[in-house]
Amino acid sequence: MAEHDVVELYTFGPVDVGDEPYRRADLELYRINHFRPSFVARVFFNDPEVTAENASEERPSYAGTFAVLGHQRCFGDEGHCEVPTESRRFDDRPSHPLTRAFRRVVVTDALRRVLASYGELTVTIVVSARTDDDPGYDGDLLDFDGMQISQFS
Amino acid sequence: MAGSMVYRLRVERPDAPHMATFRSAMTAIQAITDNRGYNFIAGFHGAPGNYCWHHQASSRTPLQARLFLPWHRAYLWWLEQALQDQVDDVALPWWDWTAGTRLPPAYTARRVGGEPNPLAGSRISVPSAGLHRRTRRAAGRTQGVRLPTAAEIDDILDDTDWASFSDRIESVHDQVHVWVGGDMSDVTAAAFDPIFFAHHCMVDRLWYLWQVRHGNGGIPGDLLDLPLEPFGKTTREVLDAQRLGYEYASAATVISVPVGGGGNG
Repeated sequence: MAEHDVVELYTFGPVDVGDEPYRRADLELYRINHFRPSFVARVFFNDPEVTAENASEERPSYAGTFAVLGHQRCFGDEGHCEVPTESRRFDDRPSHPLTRAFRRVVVTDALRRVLASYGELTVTIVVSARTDDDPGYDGDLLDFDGMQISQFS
Repeated sequence: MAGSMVYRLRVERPDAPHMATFRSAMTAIQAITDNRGYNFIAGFHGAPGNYCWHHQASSRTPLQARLFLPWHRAYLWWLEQALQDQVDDVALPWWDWTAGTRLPPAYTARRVGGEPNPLAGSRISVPSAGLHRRTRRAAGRTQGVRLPTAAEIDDILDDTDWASFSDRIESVHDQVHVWVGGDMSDVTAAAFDPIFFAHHCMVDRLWYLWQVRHGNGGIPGDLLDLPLEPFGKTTREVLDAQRLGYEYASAATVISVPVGGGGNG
């Protein structure tokens, strides 16, 4: 099957970020769906001009990168890739391989640059993947439940 | 000498002696179709075994079960032992993906010295998944994706927190999988590509370097006794690389000693 690039752009915010002093700041992303083609995501702060075409690490707004090794499609029988929503008391086996993922991006310097000139933060994430004509998923390439900036003093 | 501690060396040009030894072992193991063979062991990671530990949780610990590094260390150990069943004292090589912008020639040459190169790929045979074909790659073809830099790795090695180090190195590792592309970019078939183990050997080396700097004190106690299936080891048992029979070196030169020992003096 022929392969092609997929590049998608997502924007979140704006949100107020606390101005307490900190030594390190992380962008944390929770419960990322990796029943998807593997992807690399570049993160930009407060950059309304960034697009899928110009999302370069050279931009002053670039904050960092994260990547997710995924499972593009199911190779099992029916039900193989359904993640159980409940666990039994005596089942302490490792959880399902498609248990959603966590990622952190250290954004200390990028956040300092933003907060020096703005009070609010807008996060843009540009996701790149390579997939074939049957991508094997519905919806967005980047599918996750939550995100936060954690500042550590 | 069979059973000695081995030094895992950098992936070098195809004619480097340690690469020739490694190719001999890989040729032998790829020809074995039973549970000693490469196809069987590659199948631990994704299809059909699905044992690999990336994002899973465990009800044995309330903590996030960061077993990515320990599980893959045990996996490398298992393959290395299977290779040593075929060729004494062979060691896995590590691919320093910070040092170049291409796959290493030792893993791309179709033939070396007139023989098929077992590092260029392998045949995937997983009947339950309907997979019967050679491995595929698409190195460097994913738009906007590059290999990690030495500066990025140095920054991660400076991270003193175990959880943060593990999270960050796993993300960088994922980036390399995406960059290599093809089967490497899918958990299901990634380990069938021989470059998988050179990549993971680099990741394991980075953990080893981090341990030399920062020790093991930050690893939560809850994780230490969790089993790393199907390898019969726990996290605690893979913390010390020497106990698994290897160390990392940037170079090693064998100096011949006459039988009976001694030099001229």
